Amino acid sequence: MGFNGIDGSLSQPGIIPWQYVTVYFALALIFAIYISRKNSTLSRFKTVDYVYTGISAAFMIVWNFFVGPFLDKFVPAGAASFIGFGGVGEFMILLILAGLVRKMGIGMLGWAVYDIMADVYSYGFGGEPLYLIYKMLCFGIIIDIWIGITRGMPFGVGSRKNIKASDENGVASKNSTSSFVSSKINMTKTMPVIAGIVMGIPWAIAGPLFFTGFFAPLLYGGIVDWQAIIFSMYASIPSFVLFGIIGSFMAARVSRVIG
Amino acid sequence: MYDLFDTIISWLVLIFGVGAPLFIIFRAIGIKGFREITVYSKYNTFLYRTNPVIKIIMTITIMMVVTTSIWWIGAILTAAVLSLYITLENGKRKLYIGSLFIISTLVGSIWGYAPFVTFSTLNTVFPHFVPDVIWTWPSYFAVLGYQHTLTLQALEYSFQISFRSTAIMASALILVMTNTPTQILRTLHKFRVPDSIILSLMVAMRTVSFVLQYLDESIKIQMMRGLGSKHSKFLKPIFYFVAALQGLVPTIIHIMRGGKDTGISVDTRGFKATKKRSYVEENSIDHLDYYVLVVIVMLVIMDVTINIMGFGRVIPYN
Repeated sequence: MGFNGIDGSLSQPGIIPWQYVTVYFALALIFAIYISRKNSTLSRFKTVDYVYTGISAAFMIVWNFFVGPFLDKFVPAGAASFIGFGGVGEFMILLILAGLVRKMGIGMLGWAVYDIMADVYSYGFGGEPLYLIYKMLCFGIIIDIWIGITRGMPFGVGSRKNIKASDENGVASKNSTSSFVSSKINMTKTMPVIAGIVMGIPWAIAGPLFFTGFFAPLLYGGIVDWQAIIFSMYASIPSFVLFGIIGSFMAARVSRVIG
Repeated sequence: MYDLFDTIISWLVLIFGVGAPLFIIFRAIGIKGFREITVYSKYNTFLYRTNPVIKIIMTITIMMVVTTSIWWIGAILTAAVLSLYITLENGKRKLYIGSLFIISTLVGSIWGYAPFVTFSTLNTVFPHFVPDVIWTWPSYFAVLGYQHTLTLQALEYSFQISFRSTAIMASALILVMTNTPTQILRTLHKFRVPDSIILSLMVAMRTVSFVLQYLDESIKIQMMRGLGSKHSKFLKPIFYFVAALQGLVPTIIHIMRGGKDTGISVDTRGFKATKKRSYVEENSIDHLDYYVLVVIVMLVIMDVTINIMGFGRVIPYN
């Protein structure tokens, strides 16, 4: 037993070398800061942003400890690697938070606050600060980069003009109804769909890849089985994309109502 | 004839595994019950006077002991921590709800593991065991990922690993029930957590109970409007759930709206206007905390002794 329940074994067979992980984290952070500087989403949090973060963390606690585990009971184990309600719910609630705050760093802040809350309520601070780093830099940063790329309009809310469809045409034609003019797509309807897909895929990949491939062996000597990792990566993509789209629509709705 | 009987019993067992925890959660505990075991209420016994730092250390120690020792240590610790609930305000009720919560977690996780444990896993847990087959599932249960047979050993294994988290859960809830959010967060301040994050955490802790309360209200309103009233009573839990899902977005919007006001009122009171926070009441460590520390040290010593005696962690994690 090492420090605070961390085994700290970096030589487990099959583990991703820690140098790669560190370099990836550094590059992701630099890219997130670069893109949000360029598109000016890098601004200070206001007090109300912290309040929103706290409220979202409360929802995630309720979801993850009281609702999610019991929803999971309905999922047969054969399908359990395809959908985990706990993780999907966290994703959706964070999307709603991102829709409300729309600044660089909200994904990471949301994860950080929720992680500490989860420790107070159930996990008891074991393995910290590794879980904090894992959640913030593997998942939170995805939302931050997306906010940066979309210039602070992650779900199309905040923009009034319709955009010309060029590269999003494929997605647009599937989801827009016939009433739309063919060369224009309705931003408020298609952006959530795009956001759900673009964020859902890396979100689904990051979990198995970084946790089973790096943090699990580092924390408690978990066994690294690359076949299992690759399978659960593919298996969880559909559910994360689906619930990402639903969550994005919820986010768009909530942020339109609250503003 | 036998096939039909077989199928019916198998489905009954399956429904029990899914339904029993849900029944306990929704009927016996209810959202109100959850609120009671996750919210601070004023009272004055030794657990309320113990420093929150000590309680966090206690939870971490329990976690370390449980994960490094044999399963029945976890079971004993769960029972011990739960029995402390009786000293809390409205103790009997809290003990009752806490126990139900732990039992539902146990039943849920036993049935969540037992049918799926593979033979090879069991072989590493109980080397050279002879499987005692209790039940043979119909062949189509393989679609659900079930193993072909349910063995006594699989049940035993699931029962043992289910105790991994119960003691930690029970003791983490003590912290939440016996300290105000302010006290807990002041503790975090000692660990150099920035003020703005502490504000978020404070809001989060206060909001957890609101979320439960508003969801409860929204479900009740949906039921009052007649959701599922035309269907049989047995389907009620399902409609309960439908109502919860329908109430989710309105609840989020309602609470987030309130968040705006909270933000404004925190700002007008000069949040972060000065670099340092000041406190009216100090959190100090007194002799009571030393007694608890002694208990913690004894737990660690017990853990070491038990490991030397050969009762360390024998069950592999997956």
